[in-house]
Amino acid sequence: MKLGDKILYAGLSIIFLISCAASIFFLRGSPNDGDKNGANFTLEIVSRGEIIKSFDMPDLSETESGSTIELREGGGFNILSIEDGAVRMVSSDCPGGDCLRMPPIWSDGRVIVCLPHKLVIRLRRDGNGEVDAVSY
Amino acid sequence: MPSPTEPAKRCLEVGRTKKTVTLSLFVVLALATGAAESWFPLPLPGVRLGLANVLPLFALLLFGAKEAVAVAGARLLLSFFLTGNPFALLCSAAGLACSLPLSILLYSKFSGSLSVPAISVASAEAFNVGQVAVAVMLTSTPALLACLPFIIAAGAATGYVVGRLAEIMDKRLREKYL
Repeated sequence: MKLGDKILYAGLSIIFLISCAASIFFLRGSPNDGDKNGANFTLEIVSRGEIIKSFDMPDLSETESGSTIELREGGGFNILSIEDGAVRMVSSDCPGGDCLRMPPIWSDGRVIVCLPHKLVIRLRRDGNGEVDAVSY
Repeated sequence: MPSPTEPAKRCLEVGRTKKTVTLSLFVVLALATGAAESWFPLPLPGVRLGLANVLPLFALLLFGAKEAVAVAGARLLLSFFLTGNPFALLCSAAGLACSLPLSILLYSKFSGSLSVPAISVASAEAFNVGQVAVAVMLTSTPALLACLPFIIAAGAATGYVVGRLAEIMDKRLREKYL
């Protein structure tokens, strides 16, 4: 191994560790801790950076357990299913189908992304993270 | 490692026709590799093995910067014509814009102290950074950055494999067939 290789790999390892720390920060909140604490989640459908729909998760999981949400955004369709408080992408006509392979989401800040349809499905714990309203 | 020679001297001198044919072959091989690996199921969305990058790198080792750009660019455009996915085109173009200049710079200036796999790892990481940056911008979702550790790890692994492959191909094929 040449000297430059060692420097490069060392630098890369440091960047890797930093990104690990950053992503743990992003994804903190373990599975199901919301349900146990009785916190409410909001399911947000974001298209091109704007929230186009949002649902209250308790409503979805209690009254329509196993229900689906059909979306027509970005020139195609996506179908979400909600089962026991977890949201999963079950169908999409996007070219890659990568969103179908993303794991189900059930805790704060988790996302499912369908890049071809420029669609982001995210869960947010109510009263957490972003500012909901600003009054002057 | 056998005697490391200067990259400038290592550039292969071949006839114009032979070079055209060889580079076209590289482009086709890159396209085929890219198509083949899209059937490879990977748990993470958007992560490809990136084995097709072995051909631009090989072109860089064999001929030089201009030819590497030609192979990578032709492959990018042709795979867009084949798949018709403008999103993938944008992501790959951004990735290439980051990785190609970096690998050319590293190979031409620092190949005395950097091995080919290391250059390939650096360029794979640069490709991923460009790609993720575009994905974050197009979907305005900074949360995608949470995938970064996986993407960095995957880039290191495939970058290394690609670099080794290019190195081996360079060693075996240079005198024999070209």
